Amino acid sequence: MVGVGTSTLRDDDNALIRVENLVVEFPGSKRSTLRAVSDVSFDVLEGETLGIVGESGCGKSTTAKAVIQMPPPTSGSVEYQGAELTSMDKETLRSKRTDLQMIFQDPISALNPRRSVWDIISEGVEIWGSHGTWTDARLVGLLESVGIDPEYKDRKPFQFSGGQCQRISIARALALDPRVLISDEPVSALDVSVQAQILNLLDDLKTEHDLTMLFISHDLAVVRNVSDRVMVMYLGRVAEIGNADSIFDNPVHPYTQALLAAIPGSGVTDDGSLSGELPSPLDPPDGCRFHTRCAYATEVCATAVPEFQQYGEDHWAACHNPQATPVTL
Amino acid sequence: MALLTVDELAVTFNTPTGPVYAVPNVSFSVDRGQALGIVGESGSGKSVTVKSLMGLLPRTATITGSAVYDNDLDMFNLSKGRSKHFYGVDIAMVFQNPMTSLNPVKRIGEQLAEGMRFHRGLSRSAARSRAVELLDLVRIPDARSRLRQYPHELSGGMRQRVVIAMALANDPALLIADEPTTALDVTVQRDILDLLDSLRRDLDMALVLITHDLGVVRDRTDKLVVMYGGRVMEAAPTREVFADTEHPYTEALQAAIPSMSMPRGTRLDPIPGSPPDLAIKQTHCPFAPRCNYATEICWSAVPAIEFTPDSSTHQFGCFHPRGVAAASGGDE
Repeated sequence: MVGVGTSTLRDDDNALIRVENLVVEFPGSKRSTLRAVSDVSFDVLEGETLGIVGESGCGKSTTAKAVIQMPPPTSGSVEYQGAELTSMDKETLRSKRTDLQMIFQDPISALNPRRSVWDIISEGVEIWGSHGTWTDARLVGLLESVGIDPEYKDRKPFQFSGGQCQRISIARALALDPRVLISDEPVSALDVSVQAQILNLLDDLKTEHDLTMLFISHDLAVVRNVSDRVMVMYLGRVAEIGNADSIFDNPVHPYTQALLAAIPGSGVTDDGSLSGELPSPLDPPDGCRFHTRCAYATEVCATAVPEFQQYGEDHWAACHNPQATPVTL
Repeated sequence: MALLTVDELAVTFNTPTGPVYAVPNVSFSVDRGQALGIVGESGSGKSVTVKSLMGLLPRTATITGSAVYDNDLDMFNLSKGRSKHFYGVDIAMVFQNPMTSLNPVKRIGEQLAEGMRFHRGLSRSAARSRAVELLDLVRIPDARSRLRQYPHELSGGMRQRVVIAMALANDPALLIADEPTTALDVTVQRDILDLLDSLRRDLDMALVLITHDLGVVRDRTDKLVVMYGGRVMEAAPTREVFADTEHPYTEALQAAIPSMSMPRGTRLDPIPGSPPDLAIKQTHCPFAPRCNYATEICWSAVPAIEFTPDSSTHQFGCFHPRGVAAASGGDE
């Protein structure tokens, strides 16, 4: 399909996160079902950054949230360090969550406006008690490392700019020394001049804290800047996944090509631009979900779900009419 | 021939905590049929500038300077009768979020017809057939049946098309689009920008495109105005702004944006610090605190930018320009 099957999963013992056949559905009105994520599989190795791209409604945020079980997926498996999160009891999952932290798009609404910066970032340590690296003393250093003067720790979020609030969110996420940082459009709400500051900061902290990242963005240039691997999603399924350079330099799936062509200033003219509207996830098209907007769609696309095929050492796409020849490695 | 000339516009908001100098000084002009891009970050004063032109600022705003439409109409001193049939007829505007521009409880057809009936006294049926024409013009398929739909039944891109159709209803000579694609997906963004571009050509309409994204204006405008701290930093034909960047802010802005041609992991050059506090009256170059080239002079005076309505000149307000002009002695 635009993405079914687990053939893209790597046989690597270093996989920190392994998601198999993930399905997330929400009840719609009148007994309909909103198919947000349908049969998505991917893995993330220790220290790797996986960029997830796609239009709004493609399920990229839902996928990332399902990894930390917020909310838990309808079906499928999510393994973290070999432990299955979907069947884990509440208490164990709660303690595991300290390892998996998240930052959000709108930094101002992500912070409680009535609490001071110190309250916000120290809450985790307060709940779990200080031990190991989880100490109040470390938080001062953490504030410094995200570029917030610890002198301002008693200020409230409204006294900071959007960029500074995002820095505080990042400090909060790192307070309990997580292994995985899920960033959901972390720079989309920021001005371009500040966006670069935050991207560089995330890059520094990733090295400093040995973080593994899931990085969600609709901005392909930002994703290219941070990602080792990329997963392109369309209407709840994976269109293309693999090494970031390979995908961005030689996109195989018509949808990936259309996304790249849509970047303003890309210089690409009308060729391959998307026609029509994104279909409703309440009633996704049969076959390849992209066929209603695809310039290369043929009969088979409307009926059969394409399987993943390999186009490079780490490059997979699910398409009946790929813009390259598959390889067998 | 300049259709709109804005000269030494200044907007100050009177707030309980004192004045906020949102726009200290802005001048620019737009010719008939021309596409002008205004680029700036939040707080650069780009939206306040156009809102002042459209008469949309609250009473707490004090406006000085002049805005002249079509050579003789003083936009800040319109008579009641003239202003009633000026906005939406001569100049129309499209906003960022199409959902808030549309009335959620009125059908698309009614909303489209309203302006035409008010401004031109069209009959119900004439307005209706013109509404269908307009929806066709903005390439909404199946126009006739759309008239009976409500905004929530349309996608974001379709809604923005409806808003554009409404703006075009009375054949404006100038369309101002304030971040028209910021709330939309990239794929839809491209369609809307292409649509605006082709409408401008087909209808011989001037377009002011306001955005924070340099990529958006790059291929679609004739002229570019780069704003920061409520002032014009650089104004020139679009191609020249990119090819011969003069202002350090324009330069820094381009360096801060990741591009697809950069290899993964490329360190970006962020602009350090944050935008200026507009509650403080500017006595120096607004960009000086964040500028790599700032010297003493930058802290002592606001660099003058000489305004010439001639759209082929390259203007900039900087003591240390970067490009060709720097080599030939600059503009000091």
